[in-house]
Amino acid sequence: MRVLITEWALDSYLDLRHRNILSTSDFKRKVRPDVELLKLEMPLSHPKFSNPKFWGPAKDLNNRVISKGFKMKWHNMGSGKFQLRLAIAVIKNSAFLCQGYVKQSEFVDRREMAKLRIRIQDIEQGDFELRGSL
Amino acid sequence: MKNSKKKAKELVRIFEIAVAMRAARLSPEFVVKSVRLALDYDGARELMLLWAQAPSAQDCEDVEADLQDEIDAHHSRSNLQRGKRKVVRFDDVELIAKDIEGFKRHLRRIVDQQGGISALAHKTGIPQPSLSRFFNSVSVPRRVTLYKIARALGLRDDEIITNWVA
Repeated sequence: MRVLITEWALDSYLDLRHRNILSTSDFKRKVRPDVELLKLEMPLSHPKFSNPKFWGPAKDLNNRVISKGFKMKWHNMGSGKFQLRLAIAVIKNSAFLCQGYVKQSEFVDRREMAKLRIRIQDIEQGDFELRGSL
Repeated sequence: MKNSKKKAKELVRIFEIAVAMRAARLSPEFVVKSVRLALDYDGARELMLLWAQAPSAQDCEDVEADLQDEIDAHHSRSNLQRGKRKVVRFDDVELIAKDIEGFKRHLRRIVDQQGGISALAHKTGIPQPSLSRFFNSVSVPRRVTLYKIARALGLRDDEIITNWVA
């Protein structure tokens, strides 16, 4: 799969770095290698993806699965032991990295999933900016 | 039939929330734009529902800031104000963040000289939480937001555009 970095993902990465939530080291050693698994021919057949603590479908406010929406998860990240999440849209064999965030509460998670729904709709309409690819 | 009834109920709920937003003194411009966005995007509708369900004042403000971000983002696109975006190299990200931080710090000084964030919120119609988020983050500033701020502060557009404007 192609792994594409959207403007939303860049913004969220800048913010996480600015708030000292994600160090360069954490990014290089933990986050990036995991995200790069999506570049495999059949990434979802990799054993990591069958672990719900690592990967799972995005769900909406009513706990229904959001079509084409997924979450990659890291637990106890950094010295603050943050719950880091990366919202991803998988559309036409491309993984669009949409936003990284800290899951501080269920409410925060719901907000981010609502935003992911908007991202997915925009991507399907061709309304998005790319800032790079992995 | 069932679907259209459900849809109608959802729409009525959005308008009820819009009324509640006005009662909470959010600007008419913000409320109208939020409703318009909610009519087009299921995710925006969810954000409005979340505003109504927010467990704390801070959560409420965070949703207001989310909605304003989406309003600005979609306004930029609909007005074809997108410029050609540079592909960003990973090694440049730290420099970009410093650049944006410095720019926003400079802008914040001007804002503080002219009555602060609450005065700016009043002049621009942008909710205060959204402006606080703008100044406290290093996310790439949106052109539409910068133009509103420029007009409110009496700055020329060219005084406010940075290298990394979206």
